[in-house]
Amino acid sequence: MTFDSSTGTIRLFIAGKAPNSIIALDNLHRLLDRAGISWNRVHIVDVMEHPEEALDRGVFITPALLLGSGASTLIIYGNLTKTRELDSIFGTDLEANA
Amino acid sequence: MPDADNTLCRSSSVDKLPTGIPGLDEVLNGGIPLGSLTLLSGGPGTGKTMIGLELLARAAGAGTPCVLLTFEERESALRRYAAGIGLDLASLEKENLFRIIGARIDPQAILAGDFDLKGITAILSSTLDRLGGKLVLIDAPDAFLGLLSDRASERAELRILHEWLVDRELTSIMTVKRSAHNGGDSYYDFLDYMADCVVHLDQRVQEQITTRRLRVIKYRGSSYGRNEYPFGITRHGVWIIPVTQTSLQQKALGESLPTGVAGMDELMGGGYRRGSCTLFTGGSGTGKTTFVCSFVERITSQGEKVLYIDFEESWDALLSCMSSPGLKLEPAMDAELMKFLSIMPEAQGVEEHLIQAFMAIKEFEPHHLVVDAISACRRMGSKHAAFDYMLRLINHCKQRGITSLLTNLASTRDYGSEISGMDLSSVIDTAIILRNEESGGEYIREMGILKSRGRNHSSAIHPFLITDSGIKVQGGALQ
Repeated sequence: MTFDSSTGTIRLFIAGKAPNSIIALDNLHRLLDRAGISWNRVHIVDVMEHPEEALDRGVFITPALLLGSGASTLIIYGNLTKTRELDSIFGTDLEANA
Repeated sequence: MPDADNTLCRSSSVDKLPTGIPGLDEVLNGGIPLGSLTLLSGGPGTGKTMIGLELLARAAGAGTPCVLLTFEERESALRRYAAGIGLDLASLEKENLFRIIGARIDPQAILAGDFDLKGITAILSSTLDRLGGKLVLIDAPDAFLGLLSDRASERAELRILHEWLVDRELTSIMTVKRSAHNGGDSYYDFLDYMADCVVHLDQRVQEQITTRRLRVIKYRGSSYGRNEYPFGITRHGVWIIPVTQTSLQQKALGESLPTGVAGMDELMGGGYRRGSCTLFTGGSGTGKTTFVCSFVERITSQGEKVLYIDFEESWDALLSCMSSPGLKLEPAMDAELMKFLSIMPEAQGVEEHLIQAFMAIKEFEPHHLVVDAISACRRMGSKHAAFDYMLRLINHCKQRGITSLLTNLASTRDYGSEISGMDLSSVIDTAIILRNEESGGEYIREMGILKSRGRNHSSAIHPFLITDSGIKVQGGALQ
């Protein structure tokens, strides 16, 4: 599965103010800053308020980051503290870029 | 059914939800605790999901909306499992009485740090609210929580989930894996302390026959059956037959029934007693099957129903053998007054055999039962297995006033020890020995009534003939 970071949809599913969801928001902010992607492109879904949307999309773990749409959606579970794959996806892997 | 299990005390301060599973409610003294967590733990294939699934589907069928949250199984597989035990989940789903949330984790997903159960509880909460449900099964949460980076986080999430279930006053069932290694201990043992009701499941192989068993480990605020209970999964669902359920609830013996054998009723003081158990024992070719089939032909001609369990012959073989003495069993079968089960003893374990017999009794509602021959029951695994099967089956019949006729292929001429050889003598009301004695260059068929409780029966040995119009017993004493 591939994700075009310049145009692809970015959805972050969080669960209210749950600690892991707060950490994920913070980590995604920093990641997008590094990648030069506007925060306005991020669609935040609070599962506590919109559980049906999570159910429809098959998102049962929070936090969860969904990149892209349709069959090629890339799903990343967790609070985004492990950044190796994310850096690779968003081109923010400093060592690789050096 | 009256509760006769001495190990099942009836004290309980807990409101309960009946499981609807035969036998399980007796073990649980009424059902699972309402508003509390019940834990089903066991290794693979022990029946955790099946028991939970059946319990939920039966509750939904009775009008209680339920949600099944599974982290392991596909929704289609669960519907298929349910169909296999005669439950139609799709219909219940259409009626908004049942919902499956298939929360299997996409194997291609990337894990990038810790997560929690907040999202899934929000989804569960919303689904329960839409249905108006108060009953939930959480299947295999370990498949989900095992993705967390450490065991402490996993424990913490399970504790949070438990608190959430209790706070919402949900009646919940959770299945978790329990390894047979290390004496059955598992990482999830700590859940045993959290749940109000804990049931451990396992399956063991003995003499190449596998038997599933369950044991209730704890039940806060309620008494429960403390034994280990074998169970089977049949096409009608899970069946548990608590061993002591079959104790001492027997009906008094009834009126005399015709034996169907000329001259025999008089020797027995009138015939077989309704609800009694009669054993025919003798060597090969002594006429055991002919005696019981004589009764079958006669009693079915009076419109009474007979369940015939044959461990040795097929229906066609039996018909062929019985044509020689002129016994016709087809009319009984055609009139649906006879049900014939031909079963290989080795085919399944004692519980499955017993469940098959109990199910046939429940569905067919026979007045009489024939088991031909109980000696073959030893091939169910062991002498103890044979005893277990026969004792529970005979007691089951006695509770229901069903007359039972058994045959036993004797291995010695010591008939007294043959009858007590399976330790069944206490439940056998009438014992009849059959033998072929050599005299003057020919075999003479003989029968004698070794015992017949409460009857003034003949104590003589009587010769008999098997003619082309049935058995004819002669009244004169030989000895």
